[in-house]
Amino acid sequence: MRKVYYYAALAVVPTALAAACYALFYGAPVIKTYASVARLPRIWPDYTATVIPPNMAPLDFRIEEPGKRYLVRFSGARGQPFEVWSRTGRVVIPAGAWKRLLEENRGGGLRFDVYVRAGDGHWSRYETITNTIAAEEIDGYLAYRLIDPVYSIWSVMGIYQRSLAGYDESLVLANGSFDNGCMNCHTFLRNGTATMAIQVRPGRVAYGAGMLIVRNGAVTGVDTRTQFSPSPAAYLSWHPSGRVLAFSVNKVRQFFHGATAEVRDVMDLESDLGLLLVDSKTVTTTPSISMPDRLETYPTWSPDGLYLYLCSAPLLWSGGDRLPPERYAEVRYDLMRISYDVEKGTWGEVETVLSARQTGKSITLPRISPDGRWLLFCMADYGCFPIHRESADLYMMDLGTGRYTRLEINSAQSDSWHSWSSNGRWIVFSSRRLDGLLARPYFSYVDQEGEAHKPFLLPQKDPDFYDGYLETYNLPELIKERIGVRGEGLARVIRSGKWAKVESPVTSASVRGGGRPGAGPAGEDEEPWRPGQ
Amino acid sequence: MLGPLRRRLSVTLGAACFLTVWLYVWLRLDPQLLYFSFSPAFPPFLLTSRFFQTFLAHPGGLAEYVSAFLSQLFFYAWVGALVITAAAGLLCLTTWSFIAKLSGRRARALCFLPPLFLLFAYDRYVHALGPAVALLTATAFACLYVGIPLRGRAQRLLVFVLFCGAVYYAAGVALLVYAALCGVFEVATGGRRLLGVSCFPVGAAIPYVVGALGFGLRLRDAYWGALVFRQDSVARTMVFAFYLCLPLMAGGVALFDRISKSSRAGGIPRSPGKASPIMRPRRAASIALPVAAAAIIWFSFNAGAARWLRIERSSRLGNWADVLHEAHPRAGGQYDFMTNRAVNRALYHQHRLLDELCSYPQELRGLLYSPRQMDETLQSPYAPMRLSDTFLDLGLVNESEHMAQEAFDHVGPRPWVLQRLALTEIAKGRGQVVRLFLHVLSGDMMYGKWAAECLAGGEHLPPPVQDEVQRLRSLMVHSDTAGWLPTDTLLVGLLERNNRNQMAFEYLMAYYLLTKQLDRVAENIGRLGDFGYSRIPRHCEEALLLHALRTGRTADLRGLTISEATVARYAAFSRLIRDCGNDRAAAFQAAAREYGDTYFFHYVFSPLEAAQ
Repeated sequence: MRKVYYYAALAVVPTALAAACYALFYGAPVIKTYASVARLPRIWPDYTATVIPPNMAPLDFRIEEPGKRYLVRFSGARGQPFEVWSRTGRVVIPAGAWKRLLEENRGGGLRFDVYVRAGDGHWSRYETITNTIAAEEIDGYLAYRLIDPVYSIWSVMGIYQRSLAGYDESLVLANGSFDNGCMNCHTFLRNGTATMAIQVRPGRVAYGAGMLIVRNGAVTGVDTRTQFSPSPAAYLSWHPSGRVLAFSVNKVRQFFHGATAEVRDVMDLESDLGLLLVDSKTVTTTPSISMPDRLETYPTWSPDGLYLYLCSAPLLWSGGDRLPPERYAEVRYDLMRISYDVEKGTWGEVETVLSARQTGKSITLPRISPDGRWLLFCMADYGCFPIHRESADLYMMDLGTGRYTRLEINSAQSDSWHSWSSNGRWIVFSSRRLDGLLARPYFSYVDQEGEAHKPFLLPQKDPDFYDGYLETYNLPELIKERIGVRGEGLARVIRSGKWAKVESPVTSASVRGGGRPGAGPAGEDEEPWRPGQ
Repeated sequence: MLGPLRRRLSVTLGAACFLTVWLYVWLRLDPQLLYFSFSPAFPPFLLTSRFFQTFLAHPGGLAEYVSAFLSQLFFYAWVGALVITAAAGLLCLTTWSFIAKLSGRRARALCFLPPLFLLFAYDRYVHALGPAVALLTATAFACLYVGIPLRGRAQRLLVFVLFCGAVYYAAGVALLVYAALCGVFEVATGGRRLLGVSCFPVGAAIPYVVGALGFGLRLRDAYWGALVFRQDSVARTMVFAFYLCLPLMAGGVALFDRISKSSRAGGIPRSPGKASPIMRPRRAASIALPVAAAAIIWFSFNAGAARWLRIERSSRLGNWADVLHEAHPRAGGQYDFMTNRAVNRALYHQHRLLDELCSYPQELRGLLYSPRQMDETLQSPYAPMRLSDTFLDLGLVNESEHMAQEAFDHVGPRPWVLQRLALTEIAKGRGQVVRLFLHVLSGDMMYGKWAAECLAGGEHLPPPVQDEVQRLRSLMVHSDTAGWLPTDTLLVGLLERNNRNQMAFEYLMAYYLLTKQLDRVAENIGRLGDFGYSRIPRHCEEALLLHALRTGRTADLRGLTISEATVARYAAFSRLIRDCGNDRAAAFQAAAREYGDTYFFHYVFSPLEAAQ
């Protein structure tokens, strides 16, 4: 028995001594005196003077000031302040204390007081970083595609969902589960996940191209190609009723520049719009959104479902696959809309909402706020692929007055691919501002006046995360809840190769999008991107 | 007295065997070739916690991580050889140990079989370190299982299942090897037939339970995906055989034991001092097997793959003379447009392009590229990177970046691909992207120092990098073009940007030569002086002679002359062609022998035209 005590003491005493030493020499520092520095500390990511949701994960950051020890005090007008100290400048915030502080200061300020101890042992205190905690929450999850910066070859990619209240990221669908195929354009109905769609393209195994439609947990594969429209659908938008899915059919081509910062450029050689009536699996369109002499793309429904907004540009070349097409740098899209009666299936006339002639820029990616008041869109110097255009910026239009403004949240790099939260108070968008190559999701608070406040980067537990992360965040979409359907359930439908064919009553004019009428399915091999090894 | 002697002899023999294998792998196979290959089975590796964490998230990840780490040591051929030899040695040791438990001293010569498979794979340049580590884990656990004194079936089953989980997590589907070995052991030695028979189904169920249910993997990925291997079908077959050999061998040994026991029980007498009828072939086998193994290893060496990989490595490291040596038509073997591309680049760097272009088989895409054949270029991970090399040498920074990105999408963050991307972005002055690539590269074991120095230097890059950046900036075009340009337009554009771009000039002349545009050669010959030529390169002389004879006009040679040797060579060549009359095939045969390396031969017989 004595032996037991002896061994126990042998284990406990050194442990206690080690703990005491650690607390003495490495524990949280006590700051008695400090010098004030009359500027804000440099921190990365830039989480200063921004507005954050009350349900956002801790904004871990790195202090980029030289020093030996760092201490940050987090506080608000209410609630219990707390401190985080670090020897490296990496500030990893405890989730519980953060959450409580945000909750108690909802609608108020959040202060970060940064102290840095120099090598000589003296502490400095920088000006207080003040952020605002919005009263309105952001949707709980963010869905996005993670992919390498693809040029012509794609390899590994996946659609993921990330909890915004924490750092949990989970896989929705990996392309490894269907032999390196491609998936894109995940689209949700009113920020919900019960009804959603994902586009799929085949990889090494020809499972076929089509659209996965998820409705209340049931997954259906739909091939929207018809005799008249032999290319698969691309950009999507759910009608608020959930019964109709607007889609574009694009003959996409890529080419490369010899002396620009961004090497890649993408153009649509042809494009049209159509509707998929989901219940009857019928494809329909109208000549005014599928004109042979115009390029129509980026459909989006107004929240009341009465209008389909679209981008449309005149076709400046006469057929052929020449790359780049003639006058490609003059292609500028107008913003248009057309009324549609979902009950009767009747169309109105196309009307111009904002013309490229008026703006001098190409208008793409219209997205309307859930309350129908604001239209957030992107403008670039030309073309339909703003992610590759440094000039791509976000603009906000008041649909009541038709007035639009360039948002202050833009950067010198591409800012595009935006999405509204379900309450219309938050937007997320893809920005390449960090390096000009990889897109990262940024969030911004949009107030009642339609002003977007200073954006902040999707926080990560590791503040150094983005320094060496070589994947790009594609098409960030805010969603209210987790995507319930399992990836394997989606992949099984793809691998089955059973794509429901659609009915296509001949009502429309067009249809080009990749082939001649009667040429049969031809779209699969016409993509400018292909699977790698 | 014999015991220690025998032991010493065994140790000496073992050491000699190890040394021989190491020397063979180092000097003949040269593992460094794999390091510089684009084999998808050769894994990238970064010394970062995030990189490590990605391996923890799936079964077999640990074996993959260990093999990825060890693979980086292939950068040094002798260390790589040591890694392969050690893996083979450990496989041999664990197999030996297991067979000893299974069947005593007999049949231990079979322990050479798994390492033989490993060496055979490396003979074919199949990077099989991942499966080797996985198999090693499985056999080590099998040895542990048979070595632990366990009592009762329940205890054995419990330990077996626990080990199954551990092996599956660490080594993926090599678990099945572990399960099979344990099953064979239980049936053969312990008489626990039921336990033994149930080992395999229990083991086979683990991927479903742990992989599919635990990790949420798709069923196929839980089994197939946890092979710790990615490669083409031929190599995959090799790895399957590698995995299968151990269980089959163990089963065979157990069966052989059983037969020999029953024959002994049947009353076949053993005469003292004499080998039994069963032992005699075993002794013969113990001599024949190593000899056969050595022969298999020696003769299964894939010399063609080695040559291809040597060209790739030499090209990457700038050993131009080696590239030309390996790729010379006399060396034989595969010669495609990618080899052609490496050869032309090497010829340029050796200042021999316009003298020896026709000494090597040529095609237009071997010089630079053909936009129409870009699809083909993008099929192989080697082709984009070689094209990126040529573009970078020419000063086509965007094109080089583009091709390096294509290579990246094929094979992931290989260090020299990241280095290329960083370099092109430095030249373009995109500091943030540079930092991104350098940050990732700084986690690499071999190129990390280079990246760290560049990162630490900030604006003040290390001198060699600074020199290269200055060179690129002096050559790179500033006026944008979109889409693929014809080769000559591209090269002319480079010369307009900087008329001292010697590579662009030589490639342009080579292009005119290959496409038989003699008038263009004549028009541009006056530029030789800009690049310090004191004589006209041989092929240009030959082309100018042909041009003069065909047009009756003499180009302005700016004081240079066509050598008498070239004139004499032309006279002999045309005499030979004349002698053959209308028999074009005979003329081709005769001219190829004597004048195959002349531009005269190319001009008359090559089908290449300016038809891009």
